[in-house]
Amino acid sequence: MEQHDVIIVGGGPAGAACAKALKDAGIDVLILEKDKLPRYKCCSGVLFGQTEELLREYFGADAPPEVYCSNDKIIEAEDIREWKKGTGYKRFYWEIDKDGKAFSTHYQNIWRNLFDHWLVKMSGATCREEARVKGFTATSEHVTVEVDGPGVSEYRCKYLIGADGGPSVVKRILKAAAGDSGPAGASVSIFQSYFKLESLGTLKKAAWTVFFEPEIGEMLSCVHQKGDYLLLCVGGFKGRKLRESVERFKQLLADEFGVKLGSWWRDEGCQMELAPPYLGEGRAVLTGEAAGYIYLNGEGISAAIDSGYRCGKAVAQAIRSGGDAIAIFRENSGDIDRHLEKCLSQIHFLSV
Amino acid sequence: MALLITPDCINCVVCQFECRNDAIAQRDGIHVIDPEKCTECDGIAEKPRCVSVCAVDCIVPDPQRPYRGAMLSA
Repeated sequence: MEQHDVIIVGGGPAGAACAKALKDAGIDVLILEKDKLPRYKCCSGVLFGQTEELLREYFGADAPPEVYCSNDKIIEAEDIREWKKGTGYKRFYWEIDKDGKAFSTHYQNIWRNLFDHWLVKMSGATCREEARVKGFTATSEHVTVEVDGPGVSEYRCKYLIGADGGPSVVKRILKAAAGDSGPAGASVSIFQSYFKLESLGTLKKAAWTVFFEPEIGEMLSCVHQKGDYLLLCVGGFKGRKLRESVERFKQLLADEFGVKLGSWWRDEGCQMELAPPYLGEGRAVLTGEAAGYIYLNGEGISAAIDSGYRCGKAVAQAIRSGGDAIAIFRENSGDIDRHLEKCLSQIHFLSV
Repeated sequence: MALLITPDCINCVVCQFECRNDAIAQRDGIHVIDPEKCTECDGIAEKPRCVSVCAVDCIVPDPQRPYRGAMLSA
């Protein structure tokens, strides 16, 4: 049995930002990450202007050169466009103002595996890798956490934070304890494949092109270059065969733009649940996508960093001065909730 | 009595987390079900839990191991 003030489950941006806030407050914290870092993630890997600002505010840093894609480090906002046969291109607005504030128009093209690893190191917290949480039990005083993997198998902490993404183990255990067995709401699925790039054809370099083709998927599809690869991303409602969607998308890119793809490298899939934020119960707190903090355009990095840091601050305050960590967190995150709502009402992301 | 994951799987991992029998693992680019562990959630759910959460409907009755699967596909 090992003891810490706080244990964070998940070494992504939400967990790293949460750990940073706790370290800044002088709290003893350990991160448990289920995989070995660096690890890939289903993501376009583009840092929006809001993320850039949050990195400066919470970490006092910009993403370092080694996490950028080599050929096309910056995508200018004007090169993010949707395309339609017949009418051609028009601007696509991926990021919208938050509380009346506009963000940078330079989008940073990064590798998520390297970025996430850098962010965990920047948090200053110890991260135990290949540690899978199997279960936990919470009392009014502490939480006991059961872990699979090499090393310690049981931990005790004052607060357990689930920063473990969409399929959060912590959230699932909380929901099961509350007698809620099924998935909470509607979900959309995302699937993306990397192919060696042979020719962009007439697609613009260092651009991000979006398509609304119901034949491909109910969600937008998009394509952008990452280093030597072209990344094709598709999405749809339940039941959509997304591997077939990628094949249709490849065909469209070949037919309309003359894109030539070489060998397949890798693919990634995930589900995004569309449910209102749920911040946990008592001493088990959720943050990032595990809490439902993902902006509806599919941009989760800024929501993760912002909610993660505020969660850490709230838990630090509860430990130092007493009070209900979840209530403090909720009170301090009103603007994130409002931005979630705003994205939901303003962003154009469905093709049907 | 077991289910089978087809090559339509997109590796979203949700089924693996949903399985109460620890029967699902990631292998060779898709997820696979261990037929020795899969019970099709008999007695614990109306419909197998993995089938309920699968995004691309790629979990089907294993033709080699029919039973409840025969009812599912009916």
